[in-house]
Amino acid sequence: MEAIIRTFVDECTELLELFEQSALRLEQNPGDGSAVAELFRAAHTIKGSAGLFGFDDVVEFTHRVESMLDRMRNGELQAGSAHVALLLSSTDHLAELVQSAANEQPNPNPDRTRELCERFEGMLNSDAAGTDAETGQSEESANPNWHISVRFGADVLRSGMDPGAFIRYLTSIGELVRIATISDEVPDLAALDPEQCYLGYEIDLQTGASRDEIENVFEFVRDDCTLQLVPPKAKLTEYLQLIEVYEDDRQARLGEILVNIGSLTQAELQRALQMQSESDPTPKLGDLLVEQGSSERTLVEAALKRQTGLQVQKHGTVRVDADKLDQLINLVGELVIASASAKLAARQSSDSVVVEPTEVVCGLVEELRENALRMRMVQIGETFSKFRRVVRDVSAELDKDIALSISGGDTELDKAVVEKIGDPLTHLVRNAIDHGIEDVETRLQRGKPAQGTVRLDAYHDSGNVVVEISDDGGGLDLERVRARAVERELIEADAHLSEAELIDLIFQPGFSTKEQVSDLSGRGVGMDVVRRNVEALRGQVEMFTRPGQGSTTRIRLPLTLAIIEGFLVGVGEARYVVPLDTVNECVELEHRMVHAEGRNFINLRGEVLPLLRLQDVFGVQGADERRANVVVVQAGERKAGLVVDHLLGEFQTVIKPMGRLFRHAHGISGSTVLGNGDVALILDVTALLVHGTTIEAQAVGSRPTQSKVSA
Amino acid sequence: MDDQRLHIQVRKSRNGTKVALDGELTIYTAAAVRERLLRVLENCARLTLDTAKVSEIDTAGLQVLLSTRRSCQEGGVPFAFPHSGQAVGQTLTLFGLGERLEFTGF
Repeated sequence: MEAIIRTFVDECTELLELFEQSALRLEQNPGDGSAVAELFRAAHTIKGSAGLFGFDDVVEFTHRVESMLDRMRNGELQAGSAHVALLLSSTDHLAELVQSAANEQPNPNPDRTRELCERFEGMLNSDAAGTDAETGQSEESANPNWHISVRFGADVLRSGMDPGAFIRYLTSIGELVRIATISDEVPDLAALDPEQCYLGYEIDLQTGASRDEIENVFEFVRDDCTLQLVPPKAKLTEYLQLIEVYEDDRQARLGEILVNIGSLTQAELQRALQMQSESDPTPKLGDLLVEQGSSERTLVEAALKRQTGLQVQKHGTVRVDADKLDQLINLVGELVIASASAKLAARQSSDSVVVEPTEVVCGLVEELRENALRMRMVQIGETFSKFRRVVRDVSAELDKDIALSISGGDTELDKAVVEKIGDPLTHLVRNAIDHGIEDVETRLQRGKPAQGTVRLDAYHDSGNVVVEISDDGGGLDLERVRARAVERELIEADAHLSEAELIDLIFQPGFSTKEQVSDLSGRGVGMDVVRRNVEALRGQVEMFTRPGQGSTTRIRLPLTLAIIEGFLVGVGEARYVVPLDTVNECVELEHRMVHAEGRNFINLRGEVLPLLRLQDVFGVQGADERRANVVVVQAGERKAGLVVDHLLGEFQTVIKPMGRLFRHAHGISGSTVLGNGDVALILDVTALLVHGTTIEAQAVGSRPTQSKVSA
Repeated sequence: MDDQRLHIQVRKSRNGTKVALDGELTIYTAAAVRERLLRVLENCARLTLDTAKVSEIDTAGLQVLLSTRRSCQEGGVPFAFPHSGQAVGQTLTLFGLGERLEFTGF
């Protein structure tokens, strides 16, 4: 696929995501004019781009979508759930069409296209019929021509368009029977901005063309103008709508203009205004029209403002190839290591002429590192938002009432992590909806609100990012879990397991407690894949549950895959890096050690912490333990003291991932190169704390009794 | 704006000031015309605008004309527009504006 077509597909994908989000917003709030404006702009942009490549299928279909959205924009159509459903279906179909067009393949699903187009037709027609029935006004104007009311936006000229050209073009599809230039907004010379457009036109066009064909004339300025068409022999209420867009004092003038150019006869105008006052006692119609009129004005203004705002936003970002970004970050990583060596050499030379500039360089490298890392960070909110659609569709499918609550959307993660966490999250959310939340009846029986809630949350905690999915459903039935595990021969029938151990069984391959395997998430391969995916990101996943109240799944991930702030320690000749975020403090070991229950502990100001000798964990020869130090580390709620020989200071470094050979090495999350060329291993503190207790217990048991005792 | 696109001639006499435009009155020249007219209007008893030699006019140019008329109206300066010329005249007719820049609607 050509690069430029790939860009087109990328942009369409983004626009379609925006489209989907806006449609969901509209569903929540049918009166949301800004959502309609965004929907229209997205559709219009896709249509325009597709047109450039000659992707006719896409253009034609998007045109239908756009037409319906335009009616909504004008207030001629109210957004109901049926309309939103149609918009959402269109999003999916449009994605299909874009892909096949980009791959130079024909429409893969023409039946669907036809079906959706028919539904669009239905929307437009039924609503027209609806208003007829509502108003019961059958008064028609005698005007045999189309009336076009257009007001060009302020930035039309700046966009490179000439409004006059569009008006001229109308003459190619019909005859300009009458035209009035609305120049009220043109200020005096002092206030005039020569590049701003102040003009509008009221036009009577004699033509056999369809509404679409007339609208097409204004194709390239659709975004930058408000266009209203009144068909021949239209109901007087439609003219009323034109007039009502303006405030009272201008209404009379516009009415005058309409009469002057012959769109309305004087009698018709009187009649229309009379109808307006007549409908006052029945507040519905009158208020509706006025509301529509005035809200339309503000709607249009707000939409225009938003457009300019959004455009400004767009200009503020730059598209960058992900590969180029990675290259840059790699280079920065190498720079960090190189500057560490330079610093070391400079210090050893003790030549201030060399040391000072080197310090400056290192400081700059540090700043560069921080900026580079930030480029890779994206907010997880975008990923969270995608789940709105999933929750909506799946809960509808299962006939449950479920709301999605999102918090911590502005928590930032490394881009790569965000991408890879999507699949596990999807599975967990589906789980929550499928297995977690009960159906309405059951919930009511249990005295719970009919609507269940799935909550997505993200926050930072001691150098990690935590992503939580929780639900207020029925929680895990631990008895069923145990029964299933026995059935699957994962445990012995009489085995005694703690609650935490039982829950852990769920993450075993081949496990599933749902009787009917729904096609959503009951295949029994789910949770273990989730765990594997998370661990591949050097993270952990845990689950907590309260029977009858709900469950929470907590995923812990490293903040970044690239560079960390660390604390360098030495054990004998070996060097290790402890992530600085996990370090609480350092103390000397002597006089603080306590021996109990076959393990060593440390008494830290009255707090008793388990000890982990790194020399035991890694099988390294340590130095004299009388002069050992303890680095107190913490990850989540777990705390321990790491026994090391030397404390070597703070130190920032690039994480070099371990080769696949070392994937199962517990306690190591990577390696790095020190300034002097030695290799140091980076500790995975959380893993150490979880598994280290076992290691330590074994080590203590096998060592000859020591004579160190504390007071 | 270089003289290639538009030449502005200003002649003051006892009857007032006559401004003649020769060339294109478009978005490229609109700003310059506006500035010139503003200077003229600082001290003008009567303004005559001659567009007979204007070869091309677009919306931006049209706006300048309308804006000039407004400035004169608000400043109480008599405004004469005797020779619209072919290009300007055609455009005015197309857009329902009379030869004297007044509204006609046909």
